[in-house]
Amino acid sequence: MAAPTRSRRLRKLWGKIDAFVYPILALTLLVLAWHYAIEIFDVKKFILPKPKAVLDTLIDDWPVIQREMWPTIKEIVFGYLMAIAVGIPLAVGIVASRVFEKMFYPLLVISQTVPKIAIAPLLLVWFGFGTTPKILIAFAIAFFPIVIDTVVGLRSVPEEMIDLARAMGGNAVSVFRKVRFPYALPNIFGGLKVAITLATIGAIVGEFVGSSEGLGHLLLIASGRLDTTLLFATIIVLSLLGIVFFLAVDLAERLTIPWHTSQRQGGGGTGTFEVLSVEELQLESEV
Amino acid sequence: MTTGQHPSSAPDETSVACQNHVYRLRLAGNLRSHDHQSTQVEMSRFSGKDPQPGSGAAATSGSAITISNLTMVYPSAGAPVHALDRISFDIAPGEFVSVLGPSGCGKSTLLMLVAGLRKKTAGEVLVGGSKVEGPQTDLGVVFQRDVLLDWRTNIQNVLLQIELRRLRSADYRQRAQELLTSVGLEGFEDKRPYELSGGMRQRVAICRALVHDPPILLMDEPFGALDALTREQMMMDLESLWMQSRKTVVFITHSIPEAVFLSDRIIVMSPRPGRVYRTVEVDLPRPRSLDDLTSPEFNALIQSVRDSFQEMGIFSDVR
Repeated sequence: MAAPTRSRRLRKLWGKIDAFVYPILALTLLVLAWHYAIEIFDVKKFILPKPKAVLDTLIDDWPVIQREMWPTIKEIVFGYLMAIAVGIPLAVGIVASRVFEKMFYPLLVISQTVPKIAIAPLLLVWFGFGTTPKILIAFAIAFFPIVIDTVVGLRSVPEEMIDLARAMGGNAVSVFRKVRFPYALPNIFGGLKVAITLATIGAIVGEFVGSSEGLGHLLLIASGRLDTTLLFATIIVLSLLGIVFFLAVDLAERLTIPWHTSQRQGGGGTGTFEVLSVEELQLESEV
Repeated sequence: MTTGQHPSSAPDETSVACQNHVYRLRLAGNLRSHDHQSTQVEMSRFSGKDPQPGSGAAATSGSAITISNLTMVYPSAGAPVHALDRISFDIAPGEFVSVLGPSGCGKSTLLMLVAGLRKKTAGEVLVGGSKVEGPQTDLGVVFQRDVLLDWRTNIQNVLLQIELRRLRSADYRQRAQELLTSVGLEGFEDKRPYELSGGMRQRVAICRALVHDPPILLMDEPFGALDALTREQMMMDLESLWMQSRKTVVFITHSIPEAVFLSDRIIVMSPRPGRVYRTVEVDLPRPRSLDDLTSPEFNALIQSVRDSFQEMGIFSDVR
C-alpha cells in the first residue's frame, strides 16, 4: 500500500477547515464592500459607520459592553433552561396521556398566538424591572419549538420498534427510556437548536420593553444618542453571542447522538472512506 | 407424503381428545440454556411427523401453541376487515412450522396475536398451555425489518432483550457473544448496526431473539428485506442453527421453497379472510442441504403447495 501522498493529506486537512474558510472569506468580502461603499457613496457617519470605526468603538467601549453582556447572558441561559425543564416533560405528558393532550395542547397553541411583545409590559407590571420578566419572556418564546419537536420525535418511533420492545418484555417505562426517548433525541435537538435562537430574541425583547441593564438596554441607549457605531458594535457582540450559544447546543448534540445519520460523515457507512483521485487509485494498484 | 384437507372452505379442525404422551427432552448443541429461563418443556416432539393422518398436530397438553377458532376483525373506515376467520391449529414443541400464504391473508396478524401484541376479536390462543392475554414473555420475535437501535452497539442490541426483561446483562454477555460468533459476526460486537449490511443486521436480530433461550421463536418474513442470495444463505444458516436447539418455530413466509426447506409442516392459508386452507407435512430428512433444493421430493412438495395456490386462484395460468 502506497504511503499517504502529500495531496491526500492536504485534501484531508482542507476537508476539516473548509467549513470555516468559506464563511470567513465571505465575511471579509462583505466588510471590504462595506468600507468601499461608504467611500464611494459618501455615506454619513451616523447612518453607516466605517468598519474601522466600529472596531475602534468595540475596543474602546469594551468595558461597558462587557458589563452589559452578563445580565443578557444570564437572562438567555435561565430562560432557555426553564424552557427545556418545562417543555420536555410537557411533551412527554402529551404523548403519554390522551387526556393530558386534549387538555393542554389547545392551550399550548393558543399561548403561541399571543405576541410575546404584547405581554412583556404585563410581565413588567407583575415582576418589575429586574431580570425575572426577561427570563420569563425568553422562556415563553423558546419553549414552544421544544415541545412540538419533542412530541413529533416521540411519536415518530416506528410501531415495529415498540412492538418488538414490548415483545421483549418491556413495560411502558422501560420502553420509553430505552427506545422511545433515544429515538426522539435527534428531533429534540432540532427543537433545542431553534429554541436557543428564540431565547436570545426573547431576552432582547424583554430588555427593549423596560430595563436598566443588558445589551438590549445598550442598544436603546445607543440608538437614542444616534451613536450608530456603538449600535453596530453591540449588534456584532450580540450576534457572536448567539453563534456561541448555538454552537454549544450543536456540540451537545454531537456528543449526545453521535450515532445519528446527521452526525456521521457522509450520512452513513463506516465513515472511513476517502475519495481517491484516479491517479492515486492507479498508483495503489501498481504497488 | 402430504396430508391435507379437502379443498373446501371449511376451517381446519383441531383434534379432540387429549392424550398424555411422554416424549424425551432434547436440548443439544452449543446454545445451552440458562437455568432461570423456563426451558422446562416437559413434552417435546422429536420430529415433525404426525402419527395421526388428517388431524393436524396432536392436541396434547404438551402442545407448545394451540390456536382455536381465532378470528380477527379490524374496524376500518369502510367495511370491517376480516383478517382471520376461525383459524385453528396446534404446534407441538420443537416443531418448525411455516405459515405460508398470499399478501393480506393475515399471517402477520396471526403472529402478532400469538405474541400477544394485538387483541383478538374471538377465539383462543394458548402458549405453553396458558392463555395469551398480553405480550408474551417467553418468546423470541424476529420481524422483517431488523429494528436494531443505532445508538447501541451490536452486542448491546442483543442484550436489550435481557435488559427489557429486567435481568442482569452481565450474566448473558457471554451467551450473546457466543451467539454472534455462531452466526459469523465475531469481531462485530462493538460495532454499530449502521455499519453492517442487511443480512448481518438480521443475524443480530436473530441473536437478540435467542439470547434469553426462549422455547418458542416467532419469525415474520425475516428474510423478506434481503436480496435473493443472502436469503438462501440465511435460510441454510437458520436451519443449522435450529438443528442445534430444536426450538418451536412459527415462520411466516410467502416463499414456497423457503417454507419447504425449513419446515416440518406448512400451514397454507387462503387469501383474506385468512383461513387454514391446507396443512402440508414435510418429512424430508434433516439436516437439509443445498442439494435438497433440486431433489425430486423437494420439487414435488413445492408443486403440491403451488397447486393449492392455484386451486385458490392465487396463480392463474393465463395464456
